[in-house]
Amino acid sequence: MKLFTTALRGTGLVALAALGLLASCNKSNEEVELSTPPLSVGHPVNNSAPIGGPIKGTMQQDLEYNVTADVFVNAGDTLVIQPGVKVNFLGNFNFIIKGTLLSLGSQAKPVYFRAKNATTNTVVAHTDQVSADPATDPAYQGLWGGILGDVTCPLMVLKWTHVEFGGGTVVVSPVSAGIANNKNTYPIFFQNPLGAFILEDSWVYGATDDPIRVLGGRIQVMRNTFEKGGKTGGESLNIKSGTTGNIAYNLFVGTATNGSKASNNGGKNPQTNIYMYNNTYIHCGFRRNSAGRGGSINYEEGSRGVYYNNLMVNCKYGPRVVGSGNYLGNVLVVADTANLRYGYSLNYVDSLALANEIYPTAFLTKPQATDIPLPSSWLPAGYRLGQVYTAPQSLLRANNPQFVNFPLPAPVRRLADVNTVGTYNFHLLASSPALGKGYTGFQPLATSPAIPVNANFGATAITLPSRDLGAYPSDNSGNQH
Amino acid sequence: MLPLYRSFIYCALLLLSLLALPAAAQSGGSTTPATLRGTVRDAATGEVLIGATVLVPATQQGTATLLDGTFSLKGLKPGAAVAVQAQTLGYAPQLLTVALPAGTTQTLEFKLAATGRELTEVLVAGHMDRESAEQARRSEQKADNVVNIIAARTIELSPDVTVGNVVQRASGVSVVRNSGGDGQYAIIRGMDRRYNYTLVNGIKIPSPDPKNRYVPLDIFPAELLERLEVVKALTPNMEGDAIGGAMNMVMKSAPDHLVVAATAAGGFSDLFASRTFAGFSTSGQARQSPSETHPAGYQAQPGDFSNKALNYSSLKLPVNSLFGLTLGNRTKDGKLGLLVAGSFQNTYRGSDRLFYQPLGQPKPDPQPNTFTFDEIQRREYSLLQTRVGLHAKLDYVLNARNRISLYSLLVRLDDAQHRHIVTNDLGTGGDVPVQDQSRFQRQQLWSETLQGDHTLLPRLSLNWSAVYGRATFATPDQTTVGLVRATAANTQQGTFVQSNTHLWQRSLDQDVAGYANLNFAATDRLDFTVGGMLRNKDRSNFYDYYDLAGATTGTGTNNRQVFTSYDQARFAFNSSYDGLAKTTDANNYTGTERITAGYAQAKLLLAQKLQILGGVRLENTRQHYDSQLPTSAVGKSGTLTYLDILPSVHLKYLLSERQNLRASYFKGISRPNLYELIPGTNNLDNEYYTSAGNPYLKHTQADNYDLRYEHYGPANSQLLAGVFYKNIQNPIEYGFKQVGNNSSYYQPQNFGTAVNYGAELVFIKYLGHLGLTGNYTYTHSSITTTKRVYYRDANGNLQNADAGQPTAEYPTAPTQTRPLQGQSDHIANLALLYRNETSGFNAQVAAVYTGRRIIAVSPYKDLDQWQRATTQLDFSTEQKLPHHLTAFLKITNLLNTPTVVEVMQAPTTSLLSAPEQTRTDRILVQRDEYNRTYLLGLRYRLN
Repeated sequence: MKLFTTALRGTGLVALAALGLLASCNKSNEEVELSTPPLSVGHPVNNSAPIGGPIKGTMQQDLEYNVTADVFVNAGDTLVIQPGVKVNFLGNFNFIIKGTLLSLGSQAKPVYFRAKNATTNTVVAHTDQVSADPATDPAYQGLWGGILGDVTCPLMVLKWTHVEFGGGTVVVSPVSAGIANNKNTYPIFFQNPLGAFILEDSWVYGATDDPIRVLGGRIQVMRNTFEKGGKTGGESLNIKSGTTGNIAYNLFVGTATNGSKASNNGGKNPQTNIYMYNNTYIHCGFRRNSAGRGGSINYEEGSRGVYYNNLMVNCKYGPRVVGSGNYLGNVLVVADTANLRYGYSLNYVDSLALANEIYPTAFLTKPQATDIPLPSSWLPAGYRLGQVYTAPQSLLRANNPQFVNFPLPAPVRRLADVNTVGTYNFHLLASSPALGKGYTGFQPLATSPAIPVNANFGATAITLPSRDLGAYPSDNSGNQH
Repeated sequence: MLPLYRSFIYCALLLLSLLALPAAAQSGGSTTPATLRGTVRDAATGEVLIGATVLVPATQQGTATLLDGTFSLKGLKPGAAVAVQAQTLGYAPQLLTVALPAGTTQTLEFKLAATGRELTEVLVAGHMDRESAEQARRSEQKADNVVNIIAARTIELSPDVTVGNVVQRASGVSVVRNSGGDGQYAIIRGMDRRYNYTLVNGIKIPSPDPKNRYVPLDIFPAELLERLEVVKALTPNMEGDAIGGAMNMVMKSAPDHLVVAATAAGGFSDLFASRTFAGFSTSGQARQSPSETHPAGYQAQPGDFSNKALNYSSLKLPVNSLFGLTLGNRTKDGKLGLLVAGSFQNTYRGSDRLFYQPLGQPKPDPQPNTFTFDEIQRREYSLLQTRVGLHAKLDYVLNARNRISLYSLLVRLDDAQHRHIVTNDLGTGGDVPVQDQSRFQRQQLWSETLQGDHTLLPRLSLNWSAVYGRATFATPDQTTVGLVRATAANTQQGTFVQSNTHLWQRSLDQDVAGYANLNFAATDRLDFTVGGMLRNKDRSNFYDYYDLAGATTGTGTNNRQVFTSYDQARFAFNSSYDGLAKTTDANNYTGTERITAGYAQAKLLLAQKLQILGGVRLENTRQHYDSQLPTSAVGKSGTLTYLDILPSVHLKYLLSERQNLRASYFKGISRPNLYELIPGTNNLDNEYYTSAGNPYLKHTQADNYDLRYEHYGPANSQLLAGVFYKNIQNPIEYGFKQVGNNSSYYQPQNFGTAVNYGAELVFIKYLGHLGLTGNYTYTHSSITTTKRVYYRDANGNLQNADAGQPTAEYPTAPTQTRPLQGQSDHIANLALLYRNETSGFNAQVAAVYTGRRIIAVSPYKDLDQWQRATTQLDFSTEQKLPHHLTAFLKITNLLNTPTVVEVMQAPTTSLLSAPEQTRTDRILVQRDEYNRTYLLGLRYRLN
């Protein structure tokens, strides 16, 4: 609602300015408002019976589709999903995309990929009470499979789309590679280094493991909200080799491990190069019960890129740059540190244990003079990268980013209790120390070839870095949720 | 070669100390006695006869001939005409008279006439001891093709109790060992197991292996064997799918007189003196998976699984036991012969392993493909192996022209393996994984062969075989539990329950086959054989698997479940669908294979000097599989047919009575395993790479050339020297294959042509009580396959170069030329024997040298894993006792030779401080120690 009023105000200002212009110049001034039909291709997909098997064409506006078998979009085919479509999975089935998928929800009419209980015929609802046991929370049970891009998928676009309760098990991977037999799948999976994957203004809720895994692709992941990612492990965005692109203006709440992670393992070209900027990470890393795996941002195994302007609140670990060394039970292969730049991170913590991992022990994250809190003001003298340290008490509850509605210290008994947005609001108050601290001296990564900017076949907008930290800059150019 | 010298010195020392023993037992005679020396020979061949009894009946003074056929009787009572008798099995006794003046030494030469009819081929002379080394030498000499034979007597004397260990003594053969250190698969002349086949009495047997067609050799107790033949050149009447060679286990057959033999032995492995044997009980193991015991669509619940198999016992020095019994006889009229033999072996084996678990992807810095590992594991294996072998051979001579026989074989190996893994506590903390796995595996082979030999006309004979073979494999409820010990700073400390898996796997490989051969002996020097074979193989595999995670305890950061005991540990499925049966997994498959073959061969003897055997074999293959892949998968089922024309020619030129020169050519093939054809995928190391079957895989064909010189000297001495050359088309190797943009599978593929050539030398020499036998094989092979290179380019970007992923530096996929997997440049055997027929004391020290070889081919260039050269030294001895008894002692692995696996890359400085990383030019990946085993027993033999 607040957003709407802001938008109205903005429009009002523009209108005033236009009036002024109008007064000075005497030019024709038709205001043309044409209706634009939602994109349609081919034939409509019939929803009179449950779907399964190969489909193409258009899933029509506002219709509901029940899925009772794996759905395939064959190589060369295109499936368009119009605003307001609801895809209900009545069991452990997948959307397998060998061709093109365009899920084009709108702010007013988002698209839903969701679970439906086959016996009660009711849509599975979010169970978002604080301190629920993840062992029994349906968000982590993988009630259906995933939207699985195959190696032939050239383009997968998800805009204003809810993807909920996915991550079920595949016995035999229905895609050519990348998903292990007898293991969980990922609610969203993409694996074509030359293809483009665009996720914008969407919501990904729940998963057994990683909510999104990308084994290669040109990606644009912007302005999304991730909640309850992974049961006892998993990164909301787990990026492997062959992937280039931007991850920006996303909100990660309660991811099991890291919100976003980049690695160059998997043997694909080009080298993973990810720009992570202006993201907000809230209480991530607490369901990953093994130690040292990270809890916000992670770069490892030859990945490169930049991370700037990120805001971390009560995450189990600060940004983790993996270096060489022995760290048991972990794969420790160094990130491409020569090609990794970062800084302008704000870390807020409520507890000493977290303060002691703002620069995670045993890793290579270099404290930056642009970080908040200022490292030189509190790190022990002669600090070596990865060294175990005890942070001063003064760090606790310092630099409160002052969210519109998320009181700090955290309004929960345990840090792991925060997993969803619910009624919280992570916009910044005007008094926030995160305002004006951002770095705008860099451009989003231009992939090669570039990701098209297009209402249907590409990114709606590639939002530039902001002078404010986090996903909700004060100019409202960021996350629209 | 240095270890070889060292072991040789060991041998010599051991033998010297043994020699001292019987020498002390000699005693002096009375006044001026006489001495008699001489040799006992075969009257027809002049061959010396070993172990023949030479006796002065009047005084009952006697001795036995030595390994070179000589004897020496001292302290004889002088006389003008002393009667002396020589006799041995299969020959008529000879009584000679000699004058023995007092104080003199006289000589006497015996020439014994054989009582049996002698055949020219590998078939053995009727009344000779078919299990003797002499007979083995004779068979090698008389064989039509290139063959090496190890006789039962040699096996009995050797340190080996399973066929898997026996076969490594053969020339040109090296073995791949199981986790207990015993030989399991044979590599013949550098050709890996897939290029060889295994026969029982000349009949091919199915394999209990769930994925492969080759047969594990450690399931066969050695004492059932009459001899083991390694055939290195195929004749048209043999099945054509061997390129390295064929191993033929000739089992004990019905004797012509009463035979009773029994063995009982006990021993231990000294590994379990240094640590305990941690075994588990297999009772109460669920034979069937939850999906089998519930209706279709059932989702298993965590409560359906038991982890009782993880309750381990703790035994100090458990006792191994071996029992064997052989009974055989023939009716008076000679028509019906029967032999029944059984063997039971219960052995506790184990090994300790240090393992640098390689990471799926190397590092690009500081050099391309820098080896890197995930963790350092200490693994302890405890295996209880129960090996049962039963066989029976019945033959019935209807009349002079017709004979039928029935052969039954049942072997079973139960293998209860406990694998305990602790990740080495190095570094700066974190989660230290600890894992226990209990795996019970039953492999069983049952085979029935009915054979007939018929002389249809004086020169026309027919023989046929009807065969049923059934090999099964079962692993019920293989259970693994993973724990972690958390040691990192800033985390909850303690030991926590992490993961749990349960696996059920079964396979069946069933053969029904018929063979017929028609032989026409046109003249004594020319005969023709035509024949055919039809085999129908059915294979089915069942696979079900469940993956559970340690149940968490409520919300909060510290919700890991504290470990108390395996019984108390609670697990949960991560996804609600994880409890579903894995019915569509590609490991569930059925397949058939029909081989139809026919051949014609002729054998011609020219000028009594040159034997030519040649002919052609046609083999038609039809393979079909049905997998449980989803209906949307290409290649869910498939049928492959092909025809091979396999010519061969074998020349044998008799340079002299004792010398042969052989030259041969044959064409051989190797068929892909059915499983390799199924296009299902498996993610190895999860995201690192995906492996897949390949229905477009072609079978391998090879042209094989052999040249061998053979010298059969007196006293069973032997010298064989030969060379071989193989040109292998479409060898099957693993490599990457592009499936999408910058995406690939790691799958079996055909890689052009490989060559393999080498030389072999075999020698046997006896001198008095001492014998020296040995062999040496040089092999060189070469194959080029595609590999992946992960590197940093000039612009500082990381690049992967491989098939379908060209880069500026590698416009075509990188390749690597290497030896075939499993091929050692040098392999050698050396055994020093001491035999004293008089005192009945035998001893032998045997060394096996296996040169370095690749045991795992890496998808990445320069990261193949090499097994370091090993020298294993074994010792065995026996002493004849009264009442047909013999006591024996076998000690294996005297030097406790470790198996060391390395990557030939210089380690980084930091890696050099890790355990056992002692070399600056290579990285240790794996090190296994098996320790010594001791076996002491008694053998009883009547006749």
